[in-house]
Amino acid sequence: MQAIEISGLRKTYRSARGVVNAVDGLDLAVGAGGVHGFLGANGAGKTTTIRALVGHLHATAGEIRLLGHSVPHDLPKVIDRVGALVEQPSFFPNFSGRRNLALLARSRGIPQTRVSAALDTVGLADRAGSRFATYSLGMKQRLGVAAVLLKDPEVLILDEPANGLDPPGILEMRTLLRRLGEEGRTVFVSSHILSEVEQTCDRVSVIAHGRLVRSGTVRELMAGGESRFAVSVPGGSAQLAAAAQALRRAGFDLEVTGDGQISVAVEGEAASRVTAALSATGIHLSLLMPIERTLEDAFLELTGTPPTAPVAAPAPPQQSSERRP
Amino acid sequence: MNLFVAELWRFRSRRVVWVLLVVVLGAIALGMTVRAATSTHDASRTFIGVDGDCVDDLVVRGEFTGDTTPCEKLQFADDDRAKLRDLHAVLRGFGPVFVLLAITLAASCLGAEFGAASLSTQLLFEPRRVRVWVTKLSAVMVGVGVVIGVITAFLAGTYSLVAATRGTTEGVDRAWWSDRALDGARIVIACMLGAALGFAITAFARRTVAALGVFVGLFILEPLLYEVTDTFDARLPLWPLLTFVFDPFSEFDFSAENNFGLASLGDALLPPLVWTITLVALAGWRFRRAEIR
Repeated sequence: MQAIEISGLRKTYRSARGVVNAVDGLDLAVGAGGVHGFLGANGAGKTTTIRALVGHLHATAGEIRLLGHSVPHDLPKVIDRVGALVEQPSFFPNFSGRRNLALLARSRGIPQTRVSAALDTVGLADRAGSRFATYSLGMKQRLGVAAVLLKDPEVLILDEPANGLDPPGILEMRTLLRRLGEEGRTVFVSSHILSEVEQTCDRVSVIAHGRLVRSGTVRELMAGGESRFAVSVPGGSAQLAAAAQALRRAGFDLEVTGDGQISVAVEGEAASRVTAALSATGIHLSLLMPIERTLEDAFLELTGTPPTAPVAAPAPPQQSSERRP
Repeated sequence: MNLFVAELWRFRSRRVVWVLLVVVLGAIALGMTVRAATSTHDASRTFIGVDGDCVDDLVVRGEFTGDTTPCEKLQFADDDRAKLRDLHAVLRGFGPVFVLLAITLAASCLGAEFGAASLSTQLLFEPRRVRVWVTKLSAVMVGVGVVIGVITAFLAGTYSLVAATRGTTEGVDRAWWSDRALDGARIVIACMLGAALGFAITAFARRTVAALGVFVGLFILEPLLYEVTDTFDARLPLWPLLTFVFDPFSEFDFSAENNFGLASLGDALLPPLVWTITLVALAGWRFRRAEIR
């Protein structure tokens, strides 16, 4: 059984300005256990999907199942096994963090001892007695995650949980999510911080314009698409131009990156064709190296945003940033 | 039940509840202190030469037998003592204030939810919206009922104390106390209905101030409408609700015409009850279908 199954989900908003499909026939399956990233650009439909998942909005069409139960109809049957954080955590500003959690716990008959445990887990025990209104964005986010943990859920649905966290906080959140995933829980986490997703998630689903574009492991996503090699030749720019010309003649799609390298698109494992084409013209390589695609490259490619020039893995950071518009 | 207890707990934890409670109890205590200080009786100027009690006095004491003496022919003593039998009038006078207080408490309770967007988090713990709606409403009505009950009891208690120590308790018997208990019960019922109305109006407007605005608007508008139409305001909720608190129906000179066309307590209770049920049902239906942000 999948933890989350979505098929043909559509959410249409109609207004005087026209019709907008925030989610447009989304199909998604999230298996039980592990951390599953949910990636999409702003407006791609991530939050709308999550809000539909937890019954906060009514879908125009499609079917949603959480742990095998239909949403929203059977959501009450499964809500105790699901914890969710949707957008910004919302609590009563004049109550302390502890009191806010205690109220939620009492409303569901959850033992009050769990409140302290959840606060400890997110590192908020010291400030639990302060008013929620005095919390920083990161602390509010932690309290939201603590509320999710109150139910000791099998499935956690988290919408941008690292929002507002400082670097140590992001690291703690990453560790927490990994730990929860390793405990066998299903963590479904939307994020726009691609490096976080890359380091935290086992699997990733990418959506664009309300539709699923690709789903798979992070490695599968990064391996997909066009593979490229970085080529360097000894000598000056004249030699580089000659090499580029030779490769073009051999039918390669390439780009001179401006840092003395050529980025060559190579199908499959045919890197040897590059060496053959160059040696045939008497040019010898000083470097032939596969360019590692980042999740960001894959994401940009999948979501239809024109990808920037790929970066050779060993390239220094300043060169990397220069090559990106 | 867990949800109801949690909602009651939240109501009890709200600062505005305690602030208003302390302010009102303090104001009552201050008022009663002043009343105790001004409670005087100049025996040398006590009325003499009565040739029969005034009809008003007899009715108040429940001794009216049909013999009438025009009040204007009587002389009254210079008696400014706090009289326990005036408690009925004291409760009447405070009735509208208590209804306003009830509306404020209920409206602010829900208004704070919209302000903080906390419903979004709560529905992640209890997604059955109708249950959430009914529970919140019930808890607010019960909470308001308790608060108003405490205030009414405090008002009656302090006034009784002032009357007993610095005034007079004459003309009071068990039946009279029963009537005052009914006065208190009517105030609590009216305030609970007012709370439900305030809750529903806030649910539509999503702002606390809307319910208070509607209260003030109706307070002014209903009598004006009655002047124009003779009937219209009796179909609106506020003045019938206040008339239910005032209970003018047992007065000897009662006339429905002077009381917005209302002839009995049942008549007075019906419009606010219908309005409350209708608005609460509509607001609940809207909440059930709303998209939560």
